[in-house]
Order: sequence, then C-alpha cells, then structure tokens
Amino acid sequence: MNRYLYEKDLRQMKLIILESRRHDAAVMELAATLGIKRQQLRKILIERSDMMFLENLPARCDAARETGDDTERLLGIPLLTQAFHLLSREEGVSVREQYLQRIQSGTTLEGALLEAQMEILEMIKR
Amino acid sequence: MKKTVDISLPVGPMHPCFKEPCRIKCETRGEYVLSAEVELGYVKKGIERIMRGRPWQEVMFLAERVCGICSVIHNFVFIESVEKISGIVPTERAAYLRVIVNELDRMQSHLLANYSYCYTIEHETLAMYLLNLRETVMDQLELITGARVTCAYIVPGGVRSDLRPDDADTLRAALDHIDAELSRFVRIFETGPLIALRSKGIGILTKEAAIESHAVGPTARASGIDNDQRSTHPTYKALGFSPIIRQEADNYARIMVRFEEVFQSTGLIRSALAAMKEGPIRGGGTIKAGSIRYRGEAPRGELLYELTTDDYGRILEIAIQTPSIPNIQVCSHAMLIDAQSAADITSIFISSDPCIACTER
Repeated sequence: MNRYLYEKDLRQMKLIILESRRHDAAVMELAATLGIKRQQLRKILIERSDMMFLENLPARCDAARETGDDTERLLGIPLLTQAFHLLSREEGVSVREQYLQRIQSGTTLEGALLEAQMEILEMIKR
Repeated sequence: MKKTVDISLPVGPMHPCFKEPCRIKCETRGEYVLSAEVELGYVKKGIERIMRGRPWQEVMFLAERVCGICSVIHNFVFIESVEKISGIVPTERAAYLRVIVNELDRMQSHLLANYSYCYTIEHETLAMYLLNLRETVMDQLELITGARVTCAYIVPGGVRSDLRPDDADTLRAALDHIDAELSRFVRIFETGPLIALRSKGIGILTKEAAIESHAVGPTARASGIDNDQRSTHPTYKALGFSPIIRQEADNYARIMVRFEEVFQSTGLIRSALAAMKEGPIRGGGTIKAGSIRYRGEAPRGELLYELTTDDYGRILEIAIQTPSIPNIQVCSHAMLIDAQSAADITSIFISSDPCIACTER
C-alpha cells in the first residue's frame, strides 16, 4: 500500500504537545527515573506514539501514579507500562523481579537500581 | 503508522458527520478495522497561552471560549478554582442557580451529541426531533443567563443574575415538556430495529481498556465505571446525586447513558428549584495568590483546571485537561479496533461525543 498522498510529518506537532507544561512535567519525571535526558525520551515518544496518545499523557500519568507498590514506583514501572506504554506488563513484572533478585543476591540498592535502569532502556530500544 | 494492510482509509478532516475537523486514519483489511489513529491540529487555538498573565476577569471569558458546546462548565470550574484558592464561598441560592445552569448546559450538550449520533446512523427523523428539543433547553438557558452559548453567568462568590418567580414557572413547564417529549424519543431509539443494528454490540469499550486509557464521562460510565465528579461536589451531594452507569459498553449504552442523564438533569433542576430559598446571589471576596488542581464534571466527563494566581488576581500558569482528550484516545485505540465494518467508524467515533474544540484548546 502506498503512503497517503497528503501525509504530513507530524513530528513538529508532537513536539509542541510534549512541550506543554503538564506533558513536560510527566516526561521529566520519567526521564529522571530512567536516568536519561528529556530530549532522548521525547524522541522515543515522538517516534512511537500518535498525537492523541501524547495529548492524553498527563491524564494517564495521574492514574498510573496511584498504582503500584514502592519498588514499582522507584523503577517507574507504572508509568512505563500504563502511561507511556513503553514496556508491556510482563516486561514490567520481569524488571521488578530481577531488581529484587539482585538485592537478595547482595547487590547494593544503588547498583541494583542502575542495572534495572539499563535493562529498561535496552527493552525500550528493542 | 506502519503500512501492513491492504487498505489505508482516511476519514476526514472534512466529513459530513463531523461537527469539527479531525482526521481518522484507519488501517483496514476489507471492511475490518485493524487500527486507527486520530490526527489533530486543524483548529488549534492556543488559548492556555493567551490566558497566561491576564487578570481573572479576562480569563473568565476566555475559559468559556475553550468550547462552544459546554461553555458553562468551563466558566463553572474556572470560577470555583479561583474561589477555592481565595477562600470565597458562594451564597446558597447562587450555588443552586449554578447547578441549574450547569445541568441545562449538560442537557443541551447531551441532546446535541445524541442528535449527531442519530444523524450519523442516518436516522434523520429522530436526529431532527432531538435538535428541536435542544432548542427548548437553549431557550431556558437564555431565559436565565441572557445568552445561549457564552453566558458568563458564574462569577466569584455567586452568579450574575437571579431567577425571577415567573421564570422559575416557565422553567418548570419546559422541564415537563422535555421529559414528555424525550420519553417518546427514547422509546423510538430503544425499539428501532435499524438503530439496534447499528448500535448494539458496536464499538465495544471494555472496562479494563476504559480504565487504562483513563476514559471519563458517559463513555466510561457506559462501560460500568463509577466515575462522576458531581458525586463529590457539595451542592450535588445536597441534592442526592448518584451517577448513571450501564454495563453494555457499546454505542447503544453510551447514547442511553446520555438520554438517562438528561432525565436526571431535569430531576436535579426540579430539586434545586425546590431547595432554593430567597437570598443574595452574590457574596464578596478578593482573589488571592495560590495554586490549585480542581475538577468538575463536564457533559463529556472530567474537566481539570490546574492554575496559579498571584496577589493581583492574574493567572500566572494554567493548564486545562478536557474530557475529550482521553475519550478520543480510547476511541481510536480501543473502540475502533476490530470494528467489523468501515461504515461503523463514524458512528463509533461520534458515540464517544468527541469535541475537537475542547481537545485543541
């Protein structure tokens, strides 16, 4: 199937949506949790999501912040799986379990968190 | 969007069934809809940016202009937000008058939404009946506020004008007329075999999908979700409000929830008229500095205002989250997927009562 004759590039429009105050706060929150730059996260979101999905981001983040336990919130799993849809629920569960296993096997909290962040980033880039 | 299918079907931006411009890009295999994406940006107003830095007296009028269909609730939520920041409490009579005007606005919005749906499924007779009935509601809105669309009726501490005794009688008579006429129209909708064919089991939105996408308003309540901001509002609580919920989760349920809410609104207005005592309609107060996140129930669902004011009554920061944003997203990502016929695309979309003006605030 050919592309739409009048298809336009929506990257600029998506960026405008992400630059608004509540969207920016949501992106900053997840970027800080993942330990990456805001611009990197914006790029991923623009490539993967449509306009309505991005427009609805703050509402979904509000809902996601009220779910999950402390460990999940520390790793940003409710945001990643429910609000940003960058990970599937199964992937979220797997990240949490591996994080807890690392702590049980003697890794420091900081070390386990750093490894979990790396693992999440690899999953997102896949 | 990835091109993995045999037909890419664009609907809009200009379409006879759409009140406002937007484009739905559907991927179909024959008639079967595989995926859909809603594209916006045709009528962006940038109203939040215009509001920033202006005094509340100007922002009050701008807030109404976010949406021409549900303008009263924008006025309502904005004024209640600045009242909460400043510790201003409206007078009792004004609180009931606010409910009356808000419910009239909800009634006309629901009737317009259901008109659009009937028009989309090509039941023009019922559509025109509903549009005609909406005029009765609009007349009542004009009678009380002096305007049909941008009423600017609600002000900090109260409302702009009182309801005269003869106007109350006219309103009661109009409510009786609306109840009688709407009962007839609902019967037509419930028993119409062609309406059922186009509505029942079409555009299913499961409770889980609605929760995940944060669906609000009649769209969520038709999927069995008990979510209505009026349940927590003090004046509505005093009137014994409880939300209307259905479980069918299809086009039919969404339209029926709106019909039932119109009946509920006439009941609420009657209760407010009965409970309302003589008294002042405006209190005093000064707008103070502060920040707030305040929610109200618009006809389409939860409306959120997040704002910051200063000591001079200026709006320093403002963000508006309108109910159509989650509802359009849930429509494109859940309701439209797996539609059996391309002819259902418009009816499913319209059944979620999308407001592009609200979304492109």
